[in-house]
Amino acid sequence: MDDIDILHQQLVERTEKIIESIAFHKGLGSALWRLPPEILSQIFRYCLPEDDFSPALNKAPLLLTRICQPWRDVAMNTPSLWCKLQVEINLEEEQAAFFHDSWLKRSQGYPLSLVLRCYPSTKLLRNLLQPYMHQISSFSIGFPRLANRARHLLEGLSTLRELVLPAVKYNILDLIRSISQLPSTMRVLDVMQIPLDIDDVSSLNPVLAHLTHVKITLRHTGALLQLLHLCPNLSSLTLYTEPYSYTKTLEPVTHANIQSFRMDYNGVSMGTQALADMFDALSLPNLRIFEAYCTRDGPWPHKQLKDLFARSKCPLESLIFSPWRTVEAVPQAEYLALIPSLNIVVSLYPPLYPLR
Amino acid sequence: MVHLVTSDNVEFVVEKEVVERSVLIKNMLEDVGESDQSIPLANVSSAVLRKVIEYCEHHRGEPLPSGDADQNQDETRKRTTDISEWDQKFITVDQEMLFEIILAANYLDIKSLLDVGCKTVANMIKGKTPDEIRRLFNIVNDFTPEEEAQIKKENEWAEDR
Repeated sequence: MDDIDILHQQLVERTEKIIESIAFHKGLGSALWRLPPEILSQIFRYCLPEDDFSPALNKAPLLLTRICQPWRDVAMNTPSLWCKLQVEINLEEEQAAFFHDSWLKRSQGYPLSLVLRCYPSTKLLRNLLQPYMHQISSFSIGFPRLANRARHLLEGLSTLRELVLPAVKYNILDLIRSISQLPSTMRVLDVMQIPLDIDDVSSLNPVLAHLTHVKITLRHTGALLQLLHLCPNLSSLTLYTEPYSYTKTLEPVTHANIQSFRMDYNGVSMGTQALADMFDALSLPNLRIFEAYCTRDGPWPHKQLKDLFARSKCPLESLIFSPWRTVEAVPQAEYLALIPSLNIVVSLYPPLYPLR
Repeated sequence: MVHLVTSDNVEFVVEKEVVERSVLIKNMLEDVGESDQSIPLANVSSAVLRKVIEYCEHHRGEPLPSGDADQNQDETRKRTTDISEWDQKFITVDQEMLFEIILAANYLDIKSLLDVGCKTVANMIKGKTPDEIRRLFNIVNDFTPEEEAQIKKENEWAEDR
């Protein structure tokens, strides 16, 4: 009986091997191996994570280098797989320099998008990035050690298009000087976490002239008007303002290019009069989307906002208020009387992704 | 009407508007002009061409992706792997057919179909371990133990998640 069992076991094992071999040979004949490298590259690009670019073993692109030699060759030679790098964890100095350099080398000159939330030292980071400065197109950088050395990392970014600076206690004057000297390729600036005054805004020039998208926190409604003067090409503005003082009479400003205006207003110290005066001074003839987030549900200046829309004769499509205490607090009929095709959204809940 | 002959010698007669979703055929027709002559498609079998025509018929009249659109979807920008409901149903085929459709879309230069195919394969890869991917596509792990060790060392800094 034992002999029969052993024989049976041997037969089962042989069958499994034959099945495995059939699958292997079937695999060899698969159309998968007829896909040219450029198609495999295209598939690999779709494998990239959509948001988080922190290197992870079981995510593209590293995952794709671990399957087989042909895939590894294609992955290593597809520069666009290596153009985005997000650093969220601290490595040892030596490790960080070596591994991040290996990653960036594979980008082979393609525009880089970097998100750096920590690094062992600013000097090390500067040395790492030195050969790639002309490649960096999008740069989101902020960690405590950076505080007084931001300018060392913002010099030489000759093709920078987008800069995001998270909340860090920067040397503001230094930082503003560095931002002002960024190249004319700059289009997007996000300094939402760094409250600026009217003088700071003026000092940001000449870079402002090239910007199309700005996210900013201003401590003075007058600073907004200054910003609009200096950013003639702006099409999208996200503003957080919590004015601590305001000028009653603001010079009227017309901005012909803004299409999207999202604002978060906190009138805790000045009430909403500063906001009403700001609306009175503005004309936005190309405005299509207006979103208001009000952290204090005070008397929102609907009259002045309606006047702004009427005066601007803008093609407004969407008007969004959030979070609002009650839907009734928004005179929707009055807005619709002004622009019948308007899509009005009143949300009672805070936005999923707050402006700040 | 346009006459197409596949690699297994089957003739298809297809409306010009439908077949012109293939940039290759569109350019051929523009170069040759109106003709009753069949166009041989040596790289496409009848089973695959039938699927390709089904796709082109469904998407007839839709604007073809322009050069500008290509630029906007440039290689370094964020890519979404969303696929419309109809396309998802259409591309639910066995693996061999999926790769054959991709090859045909590439040969015939039908960008939107190529995208659907590539996104589908990418969605099959995402979220799997190397072993699962190998099993899924019948891929042999051809790394030597030394290469495996090298890859492991090279990736030891990356997060295991």
